[in-house]
Amino acid sequence: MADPILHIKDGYYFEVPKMLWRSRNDSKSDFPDWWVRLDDEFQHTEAEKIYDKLVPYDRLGYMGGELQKKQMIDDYEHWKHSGADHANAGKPFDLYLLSEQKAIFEFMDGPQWMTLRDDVRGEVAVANYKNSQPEWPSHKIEQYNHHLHGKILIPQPFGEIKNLNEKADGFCISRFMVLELVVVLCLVGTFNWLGRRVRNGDRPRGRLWNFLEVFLVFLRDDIAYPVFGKKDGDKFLPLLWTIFLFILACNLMGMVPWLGAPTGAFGVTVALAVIILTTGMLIGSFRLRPFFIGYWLNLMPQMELPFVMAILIKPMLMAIELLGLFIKHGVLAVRLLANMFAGHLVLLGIMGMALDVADSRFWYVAAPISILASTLFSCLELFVVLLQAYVFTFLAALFLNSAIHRH
Amino acid sequence: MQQRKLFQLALALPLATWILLAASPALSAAPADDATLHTDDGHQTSDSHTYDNGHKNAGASSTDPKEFKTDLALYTLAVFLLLLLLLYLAAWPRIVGGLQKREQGIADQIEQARLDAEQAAVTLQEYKQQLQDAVLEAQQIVAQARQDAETAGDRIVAEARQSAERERDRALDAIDVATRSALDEVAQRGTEIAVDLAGKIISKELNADDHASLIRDSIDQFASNN
Repeated sequence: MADPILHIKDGYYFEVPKMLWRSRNDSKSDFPDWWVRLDDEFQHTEAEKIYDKLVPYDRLGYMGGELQKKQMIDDYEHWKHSGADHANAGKPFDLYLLSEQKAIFEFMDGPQWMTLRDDVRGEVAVANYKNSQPEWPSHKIEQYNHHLHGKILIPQPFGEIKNLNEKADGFCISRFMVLELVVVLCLVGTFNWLGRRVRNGDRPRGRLWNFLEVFLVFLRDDIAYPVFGKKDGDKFLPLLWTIFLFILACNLMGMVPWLGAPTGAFGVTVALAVIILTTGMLIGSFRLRPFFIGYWLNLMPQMELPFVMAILIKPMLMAIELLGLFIKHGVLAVRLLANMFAGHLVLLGIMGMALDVADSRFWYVAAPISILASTLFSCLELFVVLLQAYVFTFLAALFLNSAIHRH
Repeated sequence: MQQRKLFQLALALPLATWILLAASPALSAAPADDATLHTDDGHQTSDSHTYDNGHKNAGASSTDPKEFKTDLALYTLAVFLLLLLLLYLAAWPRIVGGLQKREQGIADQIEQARLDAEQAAVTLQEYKQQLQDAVLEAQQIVAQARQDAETAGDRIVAEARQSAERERDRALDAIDVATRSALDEVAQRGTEIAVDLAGKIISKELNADDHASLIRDSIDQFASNN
């Protein structure tokens, strides 16, 4: 069984109950290329080809006859199944050689090896393999289909994936990317609708209108105006509204069954923190005088020091403050990631109770308990979702304010 | 009540659906689940990961929560900036303007209400003053009316008295007139009788008894005529 954490992390597929999405591949040619590339039989063929290619370069007599070839490939097969927690499962022969048979490469330079490996890959191309005989046995296709049931694979026109959670090369579209796009469309649609109603200054009517306005007015009156003041508050309001709603919507995606919270991925939270950091740097550089340098000088606390001491101490302070600037923005990203990831981990643990006893009679006790507990923890998670969106926005406002004002 | 029940139902249904959906991993792991699959040669295998290529060839950080994916980070950066741009074009200026317009409208209305209240207070004071004046005026009118009534009453009484006196005087005058008229008539009758008597005397010689009898008859006749 794959690590349960992979259910929380980003992937290149959407997972739904198996009964809702059935994989109906009839032959090996119906399976995706990356799936075939991880097939044991394919990897065996590839290993033989790589071995044959390497033999002419073996000046030490390390490789040779069929017996040695069989022995090495057997060792490779054994290695694939030997790693702790199936760490080596599905790894190709070239990785085995690099990991376990480094001596072979003593007589080859890196580029030479890479060229040779790419040649083999060209020869044992997945497309060729798919069309070759013999066909996979039916029980294998049945098992493969069983594992692909409930997994809606995202089409990858710009890249190739290595497995369900990692890419091989190019730009691969992941589940969180799709969800972020959905979030963008939902937010633009919703707030365009709201904007058309609010623009005349009419009183709010209806639950949705009131509900949406509560967030906007709260952020304005309790974050933007108290932190920036009214004049600057109005200027930063669009950024604060956007960042809050984006994080909130991404967090809420994690509460929808079968989706996931993009804010549970480090890449997303780092990108958001980078936006805050660069916004502060850019606006601070333009605002604080002298132009551009003012922002960096502003990082240092104002101190009246004798010239000699100032030369010694101020650069050190500058270095510490600069480090602090990056750390506090980094913490902004880590805090959001940790909260979202931890929340889902708790839910995963509770669900795991039922999954761990799935084959025994205890399931009938564990399943209701885990359903009830996960429902209750989901309520707590809903609170955390809102709180973390607020905390990120509030801290972002404080950081931006300190970046654009002299202190 | 009906609406409340509908609302509760509308909340309960999605919640129940959500619980079922969220619980699907636990439910799908029921003991009946075919965790072991049959192979062609009739053997069973529980080593299902052998056939699960989905997570094979995993990198070292594939299960690390801190794994940083550059693609996702750059994509997020682009998507967020796109979202900011779209919302800036489609929503935020309208919402900021609309909220300010509404708040300005409310502030104006409050100010107007304050002015109206002040105006109302002044008007109320004026009305109170007017009411007070009106009460005083009414009291004065009543007093005046009472005084006028009393005066009028006195005048009426006086006039009535005068009228009564005039009536009495008129009656007395009438009595006088009647008396004089009666006396005149008496005199006239007396004259006529005297004339008549004189005529009779003239036509017949009268002795003293006749005179006396004549005078007596005349007086009786006079008396009987009156």
